[in-house]
Amino acid sequence: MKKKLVAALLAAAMVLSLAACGGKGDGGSSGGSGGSDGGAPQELHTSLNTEPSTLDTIKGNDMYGWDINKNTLEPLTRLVEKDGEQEREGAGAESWEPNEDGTVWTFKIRDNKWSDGKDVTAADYAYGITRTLDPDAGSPNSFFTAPYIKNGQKVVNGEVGVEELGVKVVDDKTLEITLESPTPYFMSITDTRACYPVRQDIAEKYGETYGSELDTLVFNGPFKVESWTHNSEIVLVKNEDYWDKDNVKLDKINFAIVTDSNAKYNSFESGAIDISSVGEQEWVDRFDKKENAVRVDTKQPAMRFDFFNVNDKLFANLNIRKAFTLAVDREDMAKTIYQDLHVPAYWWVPEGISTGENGEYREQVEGPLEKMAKEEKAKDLLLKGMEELNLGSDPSKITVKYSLSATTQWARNYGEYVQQKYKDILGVNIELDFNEWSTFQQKTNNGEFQMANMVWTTDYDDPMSMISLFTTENSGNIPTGWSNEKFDDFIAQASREMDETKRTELYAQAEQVLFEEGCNICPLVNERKISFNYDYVKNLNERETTTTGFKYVYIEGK
Amino acid sequence: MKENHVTDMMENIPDDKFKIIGIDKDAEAPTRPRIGYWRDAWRRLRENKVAFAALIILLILVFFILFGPAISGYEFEQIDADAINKGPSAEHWFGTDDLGRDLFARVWQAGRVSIIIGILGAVIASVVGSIYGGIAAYFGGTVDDIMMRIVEVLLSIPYLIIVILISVITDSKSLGTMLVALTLTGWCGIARLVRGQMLQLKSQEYVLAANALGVAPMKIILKHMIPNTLGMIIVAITFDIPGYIFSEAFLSYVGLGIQPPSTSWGALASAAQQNFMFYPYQLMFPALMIALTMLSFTLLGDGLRDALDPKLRK
Amino acid sequence: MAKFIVKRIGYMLVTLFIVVTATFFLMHSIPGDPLAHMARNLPEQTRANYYEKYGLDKSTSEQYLIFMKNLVSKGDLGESLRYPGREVTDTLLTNASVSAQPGGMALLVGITIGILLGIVAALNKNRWPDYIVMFIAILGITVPVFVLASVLQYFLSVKLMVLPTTGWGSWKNVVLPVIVLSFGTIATYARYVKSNMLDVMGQDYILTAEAKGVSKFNVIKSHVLKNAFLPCMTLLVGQVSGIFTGSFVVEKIFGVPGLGFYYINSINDRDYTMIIGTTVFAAALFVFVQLIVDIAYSMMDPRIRVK
Repeated sequence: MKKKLVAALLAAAMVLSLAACGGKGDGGSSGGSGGSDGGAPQELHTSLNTEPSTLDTIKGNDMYGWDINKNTLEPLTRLVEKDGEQEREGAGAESWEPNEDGTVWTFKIRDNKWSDGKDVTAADYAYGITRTLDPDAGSPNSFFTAPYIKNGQKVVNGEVGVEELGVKVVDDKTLEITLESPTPYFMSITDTRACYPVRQDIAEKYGETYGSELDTLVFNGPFKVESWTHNSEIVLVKNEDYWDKDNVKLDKINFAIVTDSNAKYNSFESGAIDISSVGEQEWVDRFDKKENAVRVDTKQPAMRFDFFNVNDKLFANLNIRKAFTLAVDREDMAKTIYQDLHVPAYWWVPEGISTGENGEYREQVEGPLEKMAKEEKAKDLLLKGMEELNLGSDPSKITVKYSLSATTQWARNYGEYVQQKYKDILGVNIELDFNEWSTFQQKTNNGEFQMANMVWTTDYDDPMSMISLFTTENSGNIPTGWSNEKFDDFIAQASREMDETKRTELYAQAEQVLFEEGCNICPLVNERKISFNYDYVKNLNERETTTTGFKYVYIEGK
Repeated sequence: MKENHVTDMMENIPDDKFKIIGIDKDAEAPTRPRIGYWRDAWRRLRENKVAFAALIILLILVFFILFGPAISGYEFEQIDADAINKGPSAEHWFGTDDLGRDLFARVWQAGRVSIIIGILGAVIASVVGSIYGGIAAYFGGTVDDIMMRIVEVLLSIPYLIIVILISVITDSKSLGTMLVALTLTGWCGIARLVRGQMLQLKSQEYVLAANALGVAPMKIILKHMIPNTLGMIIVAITFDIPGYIFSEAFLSYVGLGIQPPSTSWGALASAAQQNFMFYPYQLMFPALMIALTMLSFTLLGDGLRDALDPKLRK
Repeated sequence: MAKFIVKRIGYMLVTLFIVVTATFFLMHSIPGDPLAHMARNLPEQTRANYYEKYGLDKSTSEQYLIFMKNLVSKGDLGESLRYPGREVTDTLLTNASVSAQPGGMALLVGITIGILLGIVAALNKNRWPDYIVMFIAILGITVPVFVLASVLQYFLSVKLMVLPTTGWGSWKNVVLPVIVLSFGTIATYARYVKSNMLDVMGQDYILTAEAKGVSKFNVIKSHVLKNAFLPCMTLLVGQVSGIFTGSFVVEKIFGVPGLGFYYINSINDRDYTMIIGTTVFAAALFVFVQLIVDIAYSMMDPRIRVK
């Protein structure tokens, strides 16, 4: 169990984890209340794109709540950045140890206090872990731990009670977790929300309302929530009872909830917030010119893609699916739609994911679509497919419904692009179907679609996280309806394979099958993230997967 | 005695003192040519220079909306990766948008949708609303109560739910769907306005007189009350036209507007809003068209209001 | 009068009942998954538990009966589906009180300025003050709100830095929303007041008053103004409830945690309890203001007699 092996994460596009590279001392004054040098107020201003649905770690699953949770609660461990490398350090757990075969892990819980004065105990962590898997609690985070902790899946399915779960409180300071089987990346889930501590007495006292308002919450992390104005702002202050308070520099963190992206950029421009991720080239150019703004580019292990409904009459045909996949001019799309902020993707496993010590997966394995695109012509495949389906030879008679998961202006523009391009290249008609997320979810889950567009962000740092989404067992995630024995077999082998090189080879083979025999997905672009922060913000996390939040951040030279 | 005397005198005038000088058939006719209500209104409108200028601007707009896309030489939906976000130039008179599409073609193409939605929406709403409001006000009492409660119900049901529902039922976000969605509750405002105005008119003397003379209710509403509220209705229509253009823009903003590849001024403006500080012309042209349309309709509306007001007839 | 009011309150309740019922069934008939904000692939048992908890496993009419029972007996609107643990009633009150500030102020500012401009325009018909006023009025409504809001935000907050871009809590946060929101109101009132005043000034009783030698100022003050404003009052009804549910764009752009923003989002999220809760609130307000306006109308206008 090498600690380095995994950098797991619910990464998602976090607004916050950014780099703190260039730090020249001369921060020009920028609107805010400037203090004298050295005496700059230790206050950080940042933003959330949306109000968190709850601050309960069990029920919450959006990244906004997660941003707050990371800073106000103490997970068992944290992934820390040190000199550009990531390392797992003890947080709520002082130390941990597996047994010989790696199936039982014992955590020693550190002395720490809750914000109401009570001691933090092993039972708090045990309750958090158990409650997440209890179907009664309705946690959307059970997928993190359910496959690994003993009886986890059965508990989630309601087959056995929570008392059968492999989580045991040995004494106040000792927690023991039993696994289903040895899992190389188990430690990497110990800082996900599924392993956060929850106070049973508090949670039960407030019941349904736990996590919905400030007064129902207690904290044991580096900061605590001072005020929470729904849909407006969340203010954190330093937690003086925190075990490691000497290493916490910030006194105050202000999260403004800003839903309009222009408003967010305007806020950054005017200095009202210190950090902002940026999704438009125009704004990137503008902030590039700001002297005291530091730019950070990160590879995002996230894919933007289309997926086909294999049970649809038209897309049941492999040649048709391939035709639609190959018809996309990814270079043009990256340029026209994404202004080259994202990169063309000829693969399913995104850049930014590594296979253990061998490093970046994509540097080892060529994207399968690159070769396919050279060998075959989209239009020929389409005509071939149409012939097989007895549809004649006139592509303009074909109309395909293209479902999008947003109704925003951006989505409209994107849809118009796709519509036009398919018409130019294949000669087929695209009917656009814009949905709010709630409708999109329902439609695709019920198979009421032909072709749909979505984004998927990796859950943990291993190709398995992405590629296993298409096994027969997991097919509910991206509901294409595709199933392939050969593919399932490669994945099963890979999950058992401890040799990194061999495992990489198995992933590559599975990915090859996915495109040659399935082609139920059409990857479009691999995400990149660009963020800016003012140079007086120091020590921000550079890596997306780091889970220390703002614990080590400080202000200097403002 | 005296009277008799006069009669005698009259009787004593010999018949040959009279002669037939012919029948003047036109004696009963007015000395000026008879001018109908509408013709008179038209005449007065023409005299109003501002309103007439507005009418001409509108006609020019309509001309470009009809022929602009053809003049531009570009297809309004043609994407060009090499001409993204280009400012106005000899090639692209209004510049291009973020997909490299020609804005001159797009603005006029969008105008078709916006103008149709604006005019049809406002006219449908005004006609329905005036009749409804007129009936409610004229009959009053229980009829009025019930009719006004129906309006309240319609106005209180969340508008977006109705729009979503209609687009689900018709399975489209076409121009027709938009119109239905926008007018379904759109007429309620005018109905209330007209009712308010008519309640006042109802107690006016000429209405009472017509009533007393036994004129049919419908005729009173149509002949007396509606012409007297026309001023307000015209103002409402000219307000409503941009109102509908804006409602469509709002729907575009929240993603429920007209379906691509169709586009509207509202959709163009809402698309340009995000980047207006970088490409102001993208926002300026559709906004200018909305403003011009709005301005013309308002000025024309003012002119019409004066022209149609029976009290101002000369 | 008392009888009239009692009757109208009765009507009010009937109207509300119909609105709530219609909205309830309409919103359940549009597609969409209210649990979509949860994990993409929520475990089956977990989903089933949620459905049971929120009563979504029952038929729509059963859900309706339960909802009505809770509403009538306890005034309980239930718990938000999107934000677990938050009572709809609490959320409504908090957000409505926020919306009321910029919205109410904007209405006040808008009406005052609008009426003043309308009077100026009417008294100077077809002369330059008229044209200027109408130009301002038109200008205010030629630009869509979302455009006006972001343009103002850019110039006042980013370029000049005199006001904060977004946020809530200080008076400075209210300024921009009020400006943006009042534009439309100014334009509407200026035009209607002008039009109504011209109408009224052509009436016989005004001529009579003028003929009797009443000064122009007094004619305007005691005859024209009142009669010109009355029809405008019907406008007020929609605008008052619009304060709470119609400010989505402004609230979104300026980060005002108000009800309008919540309302649109709850519809997009299919947060059923929140949608119906807001509808109840907005509809109740709407019919209430309507009642007030009707009463005021009948008291102020002698020509409308209450039977």
